[in-house]
Amino acid sequence: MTLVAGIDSSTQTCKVTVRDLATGATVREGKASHPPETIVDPEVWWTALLTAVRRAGGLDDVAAVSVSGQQHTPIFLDAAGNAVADSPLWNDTGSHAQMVDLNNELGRDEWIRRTGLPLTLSDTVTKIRWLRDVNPDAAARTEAVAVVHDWLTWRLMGYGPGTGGIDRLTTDRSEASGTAYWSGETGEYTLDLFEHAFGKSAVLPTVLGPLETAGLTGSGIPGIPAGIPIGVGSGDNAAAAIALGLAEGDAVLSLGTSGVVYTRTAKPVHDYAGYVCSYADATGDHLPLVATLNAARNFDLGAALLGCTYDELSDLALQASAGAEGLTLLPYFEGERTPDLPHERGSLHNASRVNFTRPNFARAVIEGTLASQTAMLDALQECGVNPSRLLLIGGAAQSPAVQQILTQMVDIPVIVPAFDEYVTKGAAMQAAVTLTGEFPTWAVSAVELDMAPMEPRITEQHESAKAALGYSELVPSLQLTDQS
Amino acid sequence: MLPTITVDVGTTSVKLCLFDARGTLLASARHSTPTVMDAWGEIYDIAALTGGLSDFIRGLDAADRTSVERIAITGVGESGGLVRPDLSLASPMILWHDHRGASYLESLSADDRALLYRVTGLPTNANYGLSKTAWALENAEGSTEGAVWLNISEYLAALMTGQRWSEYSLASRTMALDLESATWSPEVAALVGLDVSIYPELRPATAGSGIAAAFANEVGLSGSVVVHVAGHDHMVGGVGAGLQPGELLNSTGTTEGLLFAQTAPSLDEHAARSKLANGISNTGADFTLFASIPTGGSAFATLQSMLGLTPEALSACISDLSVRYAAGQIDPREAPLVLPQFRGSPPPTKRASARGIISGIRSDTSVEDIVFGTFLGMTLQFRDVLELFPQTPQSIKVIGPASKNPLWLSLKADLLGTPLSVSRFPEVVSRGAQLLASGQAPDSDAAREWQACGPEDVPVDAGRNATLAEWYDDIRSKWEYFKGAPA
Repeated sequence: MTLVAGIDSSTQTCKVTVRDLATGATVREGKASHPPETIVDPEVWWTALLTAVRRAGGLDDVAAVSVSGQQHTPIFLDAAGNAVADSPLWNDTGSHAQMVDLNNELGRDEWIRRTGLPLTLSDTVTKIRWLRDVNPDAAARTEAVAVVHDWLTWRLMGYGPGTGGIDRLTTDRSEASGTAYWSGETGEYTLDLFEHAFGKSAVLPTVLGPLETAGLTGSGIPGIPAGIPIGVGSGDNAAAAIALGLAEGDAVLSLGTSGVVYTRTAKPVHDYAGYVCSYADATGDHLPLVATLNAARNFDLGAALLGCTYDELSDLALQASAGAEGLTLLPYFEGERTPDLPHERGSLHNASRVNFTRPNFARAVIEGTLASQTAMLDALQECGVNPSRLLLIGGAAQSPAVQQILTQMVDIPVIVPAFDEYVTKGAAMQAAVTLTGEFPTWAVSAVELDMAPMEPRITEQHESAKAALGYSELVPSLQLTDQS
Repeated sequence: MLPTITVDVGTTSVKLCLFDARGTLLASARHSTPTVMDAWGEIYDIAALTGGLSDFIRGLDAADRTSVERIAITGVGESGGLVRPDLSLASPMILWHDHRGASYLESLSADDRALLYRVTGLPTNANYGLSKTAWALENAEGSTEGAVWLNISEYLAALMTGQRWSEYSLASRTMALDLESATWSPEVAALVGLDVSIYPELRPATAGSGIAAAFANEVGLSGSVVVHVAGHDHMVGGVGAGLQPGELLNSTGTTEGLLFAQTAPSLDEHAARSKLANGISNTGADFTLFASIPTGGSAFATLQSMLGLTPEALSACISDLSVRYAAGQIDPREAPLVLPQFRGSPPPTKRASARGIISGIRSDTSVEDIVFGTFLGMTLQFRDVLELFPQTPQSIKVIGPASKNPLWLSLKADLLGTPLSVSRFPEVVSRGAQLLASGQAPDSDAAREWQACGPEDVPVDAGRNATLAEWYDDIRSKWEYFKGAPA
């Protein structure tokens, strides 16, 4: 049996799965946690990767490996390959002021026109401006900027602190598209945007094509054999899209730490309404994507406040009727990026002595979470992207309440793929490419949920609560002004 | 005073007490206020209500029972129904917060509403008896010949005495009483197509009627017992607390009341715009100015319901928060901002449709944070309502269940920057009812009356006062925005 390994260095953990090249079946796996802070020494990601590899039994019998990772999050390197500063994660809200500045300086629409991205505080370009603002000495010493998967790939090639070789950094289209200094139209970096934000140029990773190989593993890395090919790798959502076999007409709703809705298109989109980020995928197409900061962790809070388990939260929610008798939750517990509310927090609306019950609160948590997600689906549709089915994935996808309520909120079939580590699976498929020259065809088992009558009140209540707090005014009316 | 059985018909419970001549509480009982549903909503279950009352009296120690000289009945204002001369009901006995008569007020013009406030001292609202009376007449079953509108307390008195009358403080909550002349207003009644003959004779709380022999025999009381309608519960609480002009009574129950005693009504533009409710005192001689906050003690039930806490667990949570708050271990900026409109909004909006908001919820927000935020929000709401009044209280007397909640009390004293004087005696309203039924003028010895309630001071902590002031500066704009949010 030929084995390939896929690595997912996500926000919270690093996961490694070793799979059968022929079928994609998981043979073994390992995980290691990342620290909870949102500004960290990047070395923690390398350490976690090695730990996860060890817990997966090592990769000595593996023929190829590839890395996927959290998008956007930068690592700032000097010429010798040393990190010059701790790295701000994509979800660190400290870069809000830099996002505002960059939008003011060049104009919000200019960023969308040049990069396909309504600039958010998550994008790499705002993080490099943040470093320039808060730590100009480190910025001055920065000679290269890579994102997490680029850097881990480079480490697997044997580079690291003190080795130099920053010109050997590689990335892929999906990661480059999340920097906001890359164009989906041209497939090239927009170096003027980088220099505008950072005040100087720096080495950027070479953008490889979907079927290229990043390099070979270096020697002396614990648990990892030297000389095996390393796949091009990708951002986490692009990896999951490969694994799910995402085709045009499909949309994915991923309910993880953050909520993500994305779909596959042949061309980039430019959403001047400011919702949709036009990322590239890992196959050569595009992956228009909308994200919220708050998703499945909303259920952590709901379960904690109600003193119940996740299963009980689901059971409680299903005891309540659609709309939770008016009780409405805006789940911006950690601030939010869609809509742009970094300093706001969650709020519960329309509470009365009659409707303020445990079942209604549980239902409000789930409805509020899903309303934030389906609003993103609407945003895609406003860009002319009309999905005909919705794939529901992520940690919360198996919740019966999530499944049932979602079918009351969308009018297209909802498919729930069987649980798998889709990001590591996609990375493993990229590893397979280095051996076979093409993406493998690995089966995905899935269940299609029964369609349910629409319950428009859920979305109406959500919109009404946003309007009550003035949040609706933050976003101009949605319209597609594609200038490409 | 005279040995008295008191009956206090509250929103959620009926309190029954027996006091001896020295005002000592000899016996007490508490039942859930019995209600049943009709086609329009919740109404009083009269059979259950009177049954519970009779059982209490019959169950008293025989010697105590035969010593009773008075029965004093108090309770919620604004409830009521149509009662025929034979004391049968021509309509349901409607709860105070029921709005089934709201349509009779919808067509009133701004001038009509101004007239209503000018004459009755009340903001136009379907809680009050006027629109309910119109509804009851139109929806009456059987004859309404000779029927009159009675509040629930007045109806209980009628059942005990065979006499139908209305007490001044309750009458002044019908929105049909001319405040200045203390008579029913034909002009106001006509606004909803009524004739004042639908309203009964008026009496002060100090004037009762002899008990009907049949009722006395049924429950084992002396035939010489006199039954009094003591009046609107918050006002009766003011009597029990020896409330004087310049003092604020903070009466806490299911709702929270703010009451000033006055020598003249406040009918100016500010009072009207603030929807402050004028009333006539229980004696019919003085006036009151009142505002009610719909979410008071009911917040306990709301929090229990939502958070799945037992009463004991919630009490323990409050005690713990109180200790931590007193130790300066709670930063109010870390708590959610709660607009506690779980039963509608207080003045100056008084919107029954208003609903609560809990904002500032983070991923690590805990049950304790929500409980603390709720009481802080209730305190801020209290201050907002207090600021509507034309006077600043010289002192604040607190009665009711809040006296057992150290967190709520400390927050209130610290946020207001005013110390509180809190009754430790649990049944101040019932005590006020006994005073009135005993014929004692409310101001006969007010200071003594309050001392009899065992008051305890809740001081202001300067440090926490400053912290709350800073917190309020931070959240002020959001708080005002929330209050203005559409229902």
